[in-house]
Amino acid sequence: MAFMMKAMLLNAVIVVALGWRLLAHGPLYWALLPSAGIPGISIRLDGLSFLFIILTAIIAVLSVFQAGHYFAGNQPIQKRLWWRVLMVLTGLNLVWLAGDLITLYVAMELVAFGVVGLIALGDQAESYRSALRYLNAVLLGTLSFLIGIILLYGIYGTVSLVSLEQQIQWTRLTGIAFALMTAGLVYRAALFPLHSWLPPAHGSSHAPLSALLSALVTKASFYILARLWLDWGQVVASPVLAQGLGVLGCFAILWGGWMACRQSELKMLVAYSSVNQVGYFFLLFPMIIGVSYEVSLLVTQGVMLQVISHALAKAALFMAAGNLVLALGSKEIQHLSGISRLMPLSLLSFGLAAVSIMGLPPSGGFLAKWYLLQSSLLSGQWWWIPTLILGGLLSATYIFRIFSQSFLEQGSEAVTQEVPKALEVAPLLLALMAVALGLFAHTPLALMIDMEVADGIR
Amino acid sequence: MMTQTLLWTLSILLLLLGATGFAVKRDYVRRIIAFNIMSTAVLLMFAGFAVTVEDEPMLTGVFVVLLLVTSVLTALTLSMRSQLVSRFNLSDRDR
Amino acid sequence: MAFDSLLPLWVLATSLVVAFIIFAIPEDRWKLRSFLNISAAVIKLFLVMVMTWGVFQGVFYQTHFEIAPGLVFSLKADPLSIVFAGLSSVLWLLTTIYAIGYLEGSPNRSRFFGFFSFCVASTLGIALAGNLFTFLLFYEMLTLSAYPLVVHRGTRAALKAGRVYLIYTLSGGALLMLGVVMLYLNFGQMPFNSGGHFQQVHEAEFPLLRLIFVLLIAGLAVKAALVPLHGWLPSAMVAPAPVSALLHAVAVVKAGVFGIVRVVYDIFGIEFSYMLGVLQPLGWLAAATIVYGSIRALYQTDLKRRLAFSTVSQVSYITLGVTLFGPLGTIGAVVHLVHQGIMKITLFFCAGNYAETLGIHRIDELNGVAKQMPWTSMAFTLGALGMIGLPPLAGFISKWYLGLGALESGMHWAVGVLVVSTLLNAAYFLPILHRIWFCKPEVVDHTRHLKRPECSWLLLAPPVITAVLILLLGVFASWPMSPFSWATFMANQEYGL
Repeated sequence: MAFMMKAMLLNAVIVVALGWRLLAHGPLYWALLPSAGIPGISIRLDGLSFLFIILTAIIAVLSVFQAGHYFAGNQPIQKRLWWRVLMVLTGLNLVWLAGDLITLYVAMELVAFGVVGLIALGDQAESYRSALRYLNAVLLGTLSFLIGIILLYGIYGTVSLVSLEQQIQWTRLTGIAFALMTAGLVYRAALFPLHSWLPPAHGSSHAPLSALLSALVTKASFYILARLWLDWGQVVASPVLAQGLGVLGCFAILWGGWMACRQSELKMLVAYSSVNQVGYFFLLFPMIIGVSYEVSLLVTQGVMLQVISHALAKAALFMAAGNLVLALGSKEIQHLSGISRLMPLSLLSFGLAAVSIMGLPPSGGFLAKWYLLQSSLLSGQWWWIPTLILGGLLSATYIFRIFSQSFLEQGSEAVTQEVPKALEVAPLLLALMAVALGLFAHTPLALMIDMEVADGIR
Repeated sequence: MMTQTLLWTLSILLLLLGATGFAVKRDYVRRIIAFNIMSTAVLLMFAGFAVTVEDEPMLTGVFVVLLLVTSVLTALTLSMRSQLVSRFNLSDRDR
Repeated sequence: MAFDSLLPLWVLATSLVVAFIIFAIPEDRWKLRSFLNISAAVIKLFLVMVMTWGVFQGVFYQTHFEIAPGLVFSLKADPLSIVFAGLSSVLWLLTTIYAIGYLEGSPNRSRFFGFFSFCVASTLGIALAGNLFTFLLFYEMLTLSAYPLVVHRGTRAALKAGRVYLIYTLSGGALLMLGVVMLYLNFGQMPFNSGGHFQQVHEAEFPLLRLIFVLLIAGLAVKAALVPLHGWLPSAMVAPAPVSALLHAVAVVKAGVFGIVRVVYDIFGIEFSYMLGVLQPLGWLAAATIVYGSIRALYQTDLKRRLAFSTVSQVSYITLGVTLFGPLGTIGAVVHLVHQGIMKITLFFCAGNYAETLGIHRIDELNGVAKQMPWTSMAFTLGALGMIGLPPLAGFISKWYLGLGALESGMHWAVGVLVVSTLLNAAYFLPILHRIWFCKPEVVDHTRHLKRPECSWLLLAPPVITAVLILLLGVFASWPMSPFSWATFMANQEYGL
């Protein structure tokens, strides 16, 4: 743990340095030996990637802190835990920064290896089964993504994102490559109907790790997808494909919400809520294709705000839920009666994070919904509005299932164990951040649309 | 040109074979074999492009990366599967 | 001046900060908690008084900062916000005292008082909101913070009521949000501004504006309990008495009506709304609610349920007054906002006292309680007579002006509605009064010693004070700084007199 904290400190220093670089000199594109054309690592740093780097740093340090206290005294697990966490974090930061497709591919696989290791730490039959299911998504998803990369390389002779953005044009083969990449990433991002691997994987692992998985890992595939669409979408994406993704997103919102309402285990409810929330992300695609520049800025801000506030809120939810489960010694929602008296702080964190999940003010989730409503009105795609409204109500339904159970006074024979106070710190901080994002959104919003790579490189 | 067509035809055939295997088979050993067949197909496809794109360091690099990633994924899948089967005595068929 | 511009923020902060401190206080430190609660309420009342005086002198209080490009969080104090903020801070102090007495020794008080303060902070935020976005922010916060109060008892019935409450209010909130987004998108930011924003709007925009109006009002009507969106209010009666009192008199219901007042006067502008042709239907809806609520109240046997339906009816007087096109109707509406709050809170305090002291919940158990609880019964009587509109009580003032407003605007049918409703009010309140004062009690409670006060002074003082207020507000309505003169002030601004 001490070692991990040093690593986190180093990470923080690097983040500050990157931020300073970004402020002083603007976006940055840097490739290892660009002239020789070796598939070395290339890096692209701009507002959006910087935002995700900060997000990763925050969530990483808090979940490492949480995991350190959660597994305190469990040396064997700690021994196997940290290098897997580091692997995931390295992979994630590489995903945010990658400047070419091969680096992206390697980064995604790095994340996947680490994640499989983390899920397997649960060390029960269910964890191994979930790990295998997750591997399924990884195998097929990345294969499809890879075929797309190879086709593009064959056509344009480059894998650099910057060069591709300049060269890419509509041909049938490019279209196929783009569709294959999209399909692969959609599978790994757990969009309905390809979501079934996600809830068991997140629900069955240890709480601080579920927090890490659901807050950041699901975002990685979506982030890549969003970047590709923002870079190339205007040229190669068809509006039908875009609308289709939007429709699937709506189904995910409704289906995920519905399934979350029907879960009997607390952590499974939170995991299905991810399926529900991921659906909102996919409203990005229909509203950046064939619309005015203004709308595409608005919807990018809305969706990215949703991504970030979901990351913060969901990490808080998982940690708080983990504390409740730890205190009760039971995973079941129906055993929560009377918990409000025993674990008020964890329940408060849960509640604050839930405000953002439900999209109620003041929270990042609320602002995100505001932007999404605005962009669907402005683009004339009014048909997303009913889902946006219904989705909010559905998430309120599953959230308040938990609260109404916890307020129930009858049959509250909750036998509780003492939960270390240190475990209640991280969820509270994360939840407060999710709420604060709804009041101080100026800087994040500005960073989101500052994505252009410096002109000098072009 | 002949070589390229041959490689691509072969690659597409293998891809279809692997995909069918992946879709039909429920147990993880057969699935991972199917996955490896598909990976081979992808490598062949890549090799097909190597005929036209002259960029040797890039090609070798990508080849190595792909082989590495495929073997790690295979190893991970097999180890998860063996945990499930040997420690918990469960079937490794995907429900 | 820094103090002036931050004053609205201070007013909010007093209860918000206290809410968080209370959450952190252990359950058994009730003295500390009560001290904090009451001192926060007193400080808030003092700050609101300072602000009232300032606004009277023409000082302009405003706090604002930009949350995101084009979205401004803004708090400001204008006459209308003073009326509502004054009402809520006075009643908060009284309700806090009452709640401390009422919940003595019951579990989960730390949670209760925490959310209670939160609820009041949200209400004050609604009162001081300077634009529709800020209003929406606090409106939804109020929805959430009132939920734990409604389900406070933790019984299955309470949880069911909480569920009903959430279904109604969250759906309403979603519609309101949609309306606000559409308004912002098409017409830019909307600071509340007497006279509204649409004097120069082109006729082609009218259908869109009508749609927005309907969305906004539909969202607000849920909390304002306009028929057919009133279903949650009677079922929320399972909450403890102080909560019902707060819900009906100040917080949730009033927030809805206050929103309607804001939207009609300060967003659309009364003259433009009249031109748009949306006032008439809203007036009919309000009239229907008034009559419907009164009729339903007649048939309730449970005291609190009867009071709840009475609220459904009485609160719609305000909406009706808003739709009467003319300054007198406006005065009636705004002054009723305050008067109804004070009268209704008195009635709920008394109902709580009956339930707490004698275990009385049904109306037919009330026979002769005046002998055992004279002070409470006096207060209840004043409240009930005020509701009926007997001069010189507060209710008379507001009904009189509503009637004048109806005549002034030529909406003669509204006078009919008022007369019918008054008769119905009398029909459901007078039998209760008759039972209280003149019927013989079936079982005489000999256990009570006559020398002792009828119940704890914490429970008795608040209704007596509000009952006295009912009388004073009626008799001295025309004094400066009274709600009535503020309402007049506001009406003059709105109509540019």
